Amino acid sequence: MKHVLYIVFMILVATFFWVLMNFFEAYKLENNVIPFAGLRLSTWLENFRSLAFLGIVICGFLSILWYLLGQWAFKFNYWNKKFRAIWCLFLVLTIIVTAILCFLTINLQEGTILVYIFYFINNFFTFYLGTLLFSPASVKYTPLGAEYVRHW
Amino acid sequence: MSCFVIGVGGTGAKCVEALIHLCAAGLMPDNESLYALFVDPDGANGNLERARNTMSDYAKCCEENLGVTNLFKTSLAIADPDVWSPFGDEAKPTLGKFFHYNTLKEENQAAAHLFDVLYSPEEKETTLEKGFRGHPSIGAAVLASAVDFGNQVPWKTFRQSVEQSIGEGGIAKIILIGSIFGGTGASGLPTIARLIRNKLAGIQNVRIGGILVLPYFSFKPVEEGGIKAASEDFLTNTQAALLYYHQKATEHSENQEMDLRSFKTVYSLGEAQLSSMKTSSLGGQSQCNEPHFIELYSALACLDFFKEKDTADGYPMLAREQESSITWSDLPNYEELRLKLEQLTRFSYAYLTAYRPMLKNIAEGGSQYRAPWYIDFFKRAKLNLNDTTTRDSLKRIEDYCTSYLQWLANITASTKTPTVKLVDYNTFAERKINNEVIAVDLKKHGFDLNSFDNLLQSEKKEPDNGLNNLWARMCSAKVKDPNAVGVGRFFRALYDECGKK
Repeated sequence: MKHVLYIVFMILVATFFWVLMNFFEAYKLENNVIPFAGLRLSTWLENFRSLAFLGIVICGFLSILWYLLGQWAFKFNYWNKKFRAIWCLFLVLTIIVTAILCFLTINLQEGTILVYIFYFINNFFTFYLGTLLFSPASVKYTPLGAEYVRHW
Repeated sequence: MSCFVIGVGGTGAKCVEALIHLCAAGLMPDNESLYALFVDPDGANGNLERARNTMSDYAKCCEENLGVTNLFKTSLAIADPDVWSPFGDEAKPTLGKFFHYNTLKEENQAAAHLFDVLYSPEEKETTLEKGFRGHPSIGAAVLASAVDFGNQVPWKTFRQSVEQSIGEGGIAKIILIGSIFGGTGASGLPTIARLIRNKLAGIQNVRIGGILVLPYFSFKPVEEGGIKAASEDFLTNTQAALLYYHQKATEHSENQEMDLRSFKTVYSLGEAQLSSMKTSSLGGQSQCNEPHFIELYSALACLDFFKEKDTADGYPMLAREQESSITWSDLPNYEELRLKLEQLTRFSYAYLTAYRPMLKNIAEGGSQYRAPWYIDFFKRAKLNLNDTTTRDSLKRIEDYCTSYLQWLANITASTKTPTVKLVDYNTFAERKINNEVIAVDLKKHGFDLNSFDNLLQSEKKEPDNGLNNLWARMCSAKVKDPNAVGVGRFFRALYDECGKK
């Protein structure tokens, strides 16, 4: 039951960033980006929303994958395995996903940096917060900073 | 303090060793403490030394602040000195010197002549620092003269402890354990029991029990000359001893000093198939035989004696179902026994194979990755692994767990026939290279990590994920007992989680 609950919480974290993206970031971008001539802002925002959503889904999936590995796949009989390196690899993947999204996003005349920042925040923190707060017990302090934050 | 155990001779020491392990598992009755004393003229005896080390390790582990738990729950008072020899510090005692034979010849010729009739010149002159050489007649005379409950330690403190226990309204249960086919045990058991009974005559709340261990092992003839024990004499000695006990138990005597009905309860234990011991020795450090399952039975007999509220007269009996094997169901009270020994075994196994190595690595400045249980029980509790107190605690538990698993493996491997099917010792121990004698040592290069859940199954079994599951539980473990403090919280958590599957 606890496993289901934690995975649901991870999904909720991803959902939070999806809501943030849809209602805050999109609003911010609407007032701060200028597409090139011939491209309507609504079209560009649609592109942004789709790609941002994809990024959140992928990173949410990565956090759930981390949970499944930590709970059922990693063997702790051999305690000297470097599970933190595996978590860091997943974290790097979120950055790679962000980079890909940046590449796929339609170019802007102005406001590109803000878009990249929003992609990074959504993807990175979907994974980081999900794993920081809801990693399975055996790896609950593996995410960086978890031992200072997590007390459950 | 209401339970007293006196291990007489080498076999007595080994049985006390087994009892200590059962105490560690929490099998002693609740709210009882144990007072332990060894009687052996051979203070350097290897069997005795191992038992003393186990007792000492146990006593140190009792100080670990584990809270209210079965693990090391019984407090242990060790006599001071823990080993009593009738010869004191005498380096080369002889029977003649002990009874001042030379003086006797000059001052009391009749007594000297009686001495000559009872003992051969060899018996009078053989040095006894390695024991009574399989001659209970020597031991009985020496022990009867040497025990002094008035002024001599540890007998004085023993008597005081017994009187204190009775004074507190309890029943003092004193049990003596020894072999009846050797020298020290055969002479010590009836003699010391009688002396105790006579000293405490008139006091109602004292129960004296005896565990008479019959032959269960043999050894090759000792090469040294002179009088010595020989395993081919064991059965004859046993027959004579049992006839003696029977005679004295049934005859009526007005002389209470001679009335040997000192034991309220007697347990006789033996095994038809004698196990061959790896060493043949007169005594000393080289006389260090591997643990045997009969000693486990002896320890269980102690528990039976300590648990009875009103110990009745009688001779409890026990037999096993199959001649060729011993399984858990052949042991008395086996359900509780198996449960608690399994928990202790899992605790020892897990600690030695997974947790202790990691803690050592962290202490030596190893990997930066830290297991959650380490963060919870050490880092957040501000326990420094290099601090002397913490380091000593971890080492004490390690020492005890090592001696426990070693003992458990050896009693399981103690005989080829019957086979003892109590634990799969191959997961954590391996046989020493000696085709004739079975002895085991803990594996030097890691235990089998896939057999944790079924350690106490001797038959072939599927690999399991037990250690992995334990690790996961340890990472969420909480200890709510406020009496569990410091490193004790970690040990307590590990022990509690090892009780779950």
